[in-house]
Amino acid sequence: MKRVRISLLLSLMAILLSTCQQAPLRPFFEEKIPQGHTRLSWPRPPAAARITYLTEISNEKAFATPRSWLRRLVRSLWGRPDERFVRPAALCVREPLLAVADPGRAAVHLLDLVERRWTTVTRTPDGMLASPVGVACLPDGHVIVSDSVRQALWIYDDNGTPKGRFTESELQRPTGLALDLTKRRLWVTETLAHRVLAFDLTGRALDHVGSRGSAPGQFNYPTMIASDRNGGLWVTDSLNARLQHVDAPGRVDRLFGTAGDRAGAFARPRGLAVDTAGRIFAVDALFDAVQIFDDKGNLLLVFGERGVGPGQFWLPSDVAMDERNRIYVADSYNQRIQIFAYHAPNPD
Amino acid sequence: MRPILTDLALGAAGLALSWGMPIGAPPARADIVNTVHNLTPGGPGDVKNPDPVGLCRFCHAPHGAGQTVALWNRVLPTEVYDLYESSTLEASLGQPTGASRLCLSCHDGTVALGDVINPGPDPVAPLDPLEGSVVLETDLSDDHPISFIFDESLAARNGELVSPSGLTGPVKLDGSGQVQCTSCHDPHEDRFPKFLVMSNENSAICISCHEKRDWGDSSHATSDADWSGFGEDPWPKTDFSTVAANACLSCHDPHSAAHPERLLLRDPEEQVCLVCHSGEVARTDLVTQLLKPSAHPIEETSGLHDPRENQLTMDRHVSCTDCHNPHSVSDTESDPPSVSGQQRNVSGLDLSGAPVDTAQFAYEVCYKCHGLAEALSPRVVRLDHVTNVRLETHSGNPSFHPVTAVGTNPAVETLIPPLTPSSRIFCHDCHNTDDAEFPGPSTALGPHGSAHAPILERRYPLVDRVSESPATYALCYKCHDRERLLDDAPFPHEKHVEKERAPCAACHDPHGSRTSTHLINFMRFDSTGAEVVRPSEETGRLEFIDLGEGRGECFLNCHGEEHKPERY
Repeated sequence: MKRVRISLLLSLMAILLSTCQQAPLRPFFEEKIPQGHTRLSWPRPPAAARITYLTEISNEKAFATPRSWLRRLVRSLWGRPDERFVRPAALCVREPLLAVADPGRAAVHLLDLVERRWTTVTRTPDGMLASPVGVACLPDGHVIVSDSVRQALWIYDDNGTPKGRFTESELQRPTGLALDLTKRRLWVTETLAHRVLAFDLTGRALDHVGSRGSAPGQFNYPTMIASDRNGGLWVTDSLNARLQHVDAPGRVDRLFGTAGDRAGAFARPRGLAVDTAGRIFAVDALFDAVQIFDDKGNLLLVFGERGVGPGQFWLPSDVAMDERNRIYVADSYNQRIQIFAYHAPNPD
Repeated sequence: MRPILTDLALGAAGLALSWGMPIGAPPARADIVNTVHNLTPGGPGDVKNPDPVGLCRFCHAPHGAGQTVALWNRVLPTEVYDLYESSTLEASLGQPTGASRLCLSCHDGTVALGDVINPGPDPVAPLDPLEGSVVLETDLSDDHPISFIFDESLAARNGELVSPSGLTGPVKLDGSGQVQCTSCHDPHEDRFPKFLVMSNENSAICISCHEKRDWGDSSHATSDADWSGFGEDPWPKTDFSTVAANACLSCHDPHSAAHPERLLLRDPEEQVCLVCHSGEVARTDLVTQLLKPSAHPIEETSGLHDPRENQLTMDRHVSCTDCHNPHSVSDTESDPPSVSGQQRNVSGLDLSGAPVDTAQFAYEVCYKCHGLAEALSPRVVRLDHVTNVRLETHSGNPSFHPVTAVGTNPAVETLIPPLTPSSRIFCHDCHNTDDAEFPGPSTALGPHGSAHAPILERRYPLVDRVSESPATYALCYKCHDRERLLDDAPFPHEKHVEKERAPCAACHDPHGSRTSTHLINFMRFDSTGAEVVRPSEETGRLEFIDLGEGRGECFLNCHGEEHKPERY
């Protein structure tokens, strides 16, 4: 009897609280994904789905929280025009933030996936972004951006306010960025120096790996990178058409991949993401697809094909994964981010 | 493996050709090994150990690297990858197809710097709406478009493109009839800068496709003017040093154009013209003219002009290209009323008020704005207050300055020879820079700007009660002899102009009169708003009556003098 009364009281309080509070904002996904229809999935049925298409984001108008007619009017009179992706090249995600480097727009877009707010940043403390090609999302909500033309790394807070240079080191075309939370360090690719650098999170240089060449441990125009959960790093060794793995102490301990136009080979390898089990998601711009490998380089699955529809890509350039196994693909010439659910197999 | 003999033969041929060329000319056949597209460690960069293994595979992924089994997927569809297929998909404008995909997959800002092409803002725009002289009207792209089909239909809709069947030279379409990066660039050979398929001197590449009307003998295609070295470098992105050699690239930029629409090299648009027409490349200096107190305000309406605009509905504006067609402009002079080379192939409005694509007569260019509607800010108020210049100067009026036809008065005694009553004049015989009377070598003639409003070559007061002198009415006295005019015969000009200090404009409307002969159209209020000529107090009439044979009578009241009427 007493328990019933308490629960009654609790539910009353809950009702009161909920009426006092604003209606909770629903995350982007819950509203945008139509429920109960048969979704695109890979591999094709009847095989068990590993990847399912969820949705896409291409412009602010469709993404942002619906506005009242008054706010729409105010905005049409005084507001800025709606933003959109022009050529999204790289992304990172740390909920609720999705950060997208867009060299076509010469900007970084910061999307709050819960409040559905879109912020576009074009400035640096001393000028404008020229060619933002890499982003890293720090745990405190800050974002680091690499600019391959201005040869610098810039740091922004989650509102998009420029906070200065991440490091004063001179960099030879910085491109890919990856955060290693196990050692609290940031990996940066120096494409023209054919190496990757490690910095601590205050911007102090720690180490570098690689030189130009085709031998194991050497790189030929390395570009995008992704950390795994063990302090290691996968590097797209683009013109050697392979991926190389740098272990936590900073040695290349394995590599795989060959140039070719068949599944499992690489034609124009670009961005990478690594799941909790160490599987590698590798974008290939010319294949218009994402290839999934295990950590030994065995091909597990390919998804995507050329086109403009859902689950199709046009020169895609990067992939990222959030804590809830959602996959984000920068579909650069379709000017959008496509989002997929990843049904990771149970550990066996 | 190529037989060594072939190598030798090719080498010898290359040598022979290079001997036949002027010193400094590139070898007849460069090899990709010696270009920056050799991405092996032996490429022309840091490492000096040639290692051509795998040279091609950087762009051309080798076929069939063995059948791979995907562990999560029993069958891998073979159609997943179609690397070398010329795409027949419905590509949207801006989405690269064919060989361009190979270029852009590296020129993305990482391996090679990007900003080579940006997709437009609307990725679902179909290919069909391409028309007009530009295809970028709805496209924010700052690069020349690629991956679009260039067929006879596009050439016909554009009107200034060659027939694609004529593209038999170095500039080619791809197998599916599309313009690609490879139409202008040969990634295998860098004989010409930036891997171009041929030298772009005199814009040879551009004019392979673009056939602008009368470009061949235009000043911008033929002038050997070069840069003085002062001010802004007019050609920051090319190695050419004359206007003719730079040609299209003097104004346009095929990649990362500062003003994306129409790929203009500079922004705002007037800077495209003024960087050269400042006396630093072109002999004449327009900047000085445009800064004068009365000028065509090109900077105030920058960005409004559109080559496809409807003249009848466009927002009022003026830009350099409203009056000049930079693709056709030349130094050819003309006699009034025909357009000179400076205004060749410019649109206008004819005497009837109908738009014409190509103005035949110089006044038609002026009418495009000044003959469309009443003046926005007329300086004086007249009895017949029509301020549309086209209606004022219309050849059907009882009198008009002879712009649109020979004048109606067969006996204008005051004209200074060689002018006769059958002479014709241009608008810019009066509306001209004030430097035109004594022009220097850098004086840009024409109605760009003047110290005398409204852009008048010489002084012409529009206020009442001014002292007569040769300087006061210098504009009128340019053609009308002062001595004869003040001779008081047949009309007592001296009494009115010298003694009463009435300006010429008090009685005459210089453009023309829709009601009277002798350009009579009384000024009711001068440019300060003061009343000048008003109706006769006794008769209430304000009127000039031509009695013929040099005689006439006026009903009016002016300076307190009552004419009820006065005859001469």
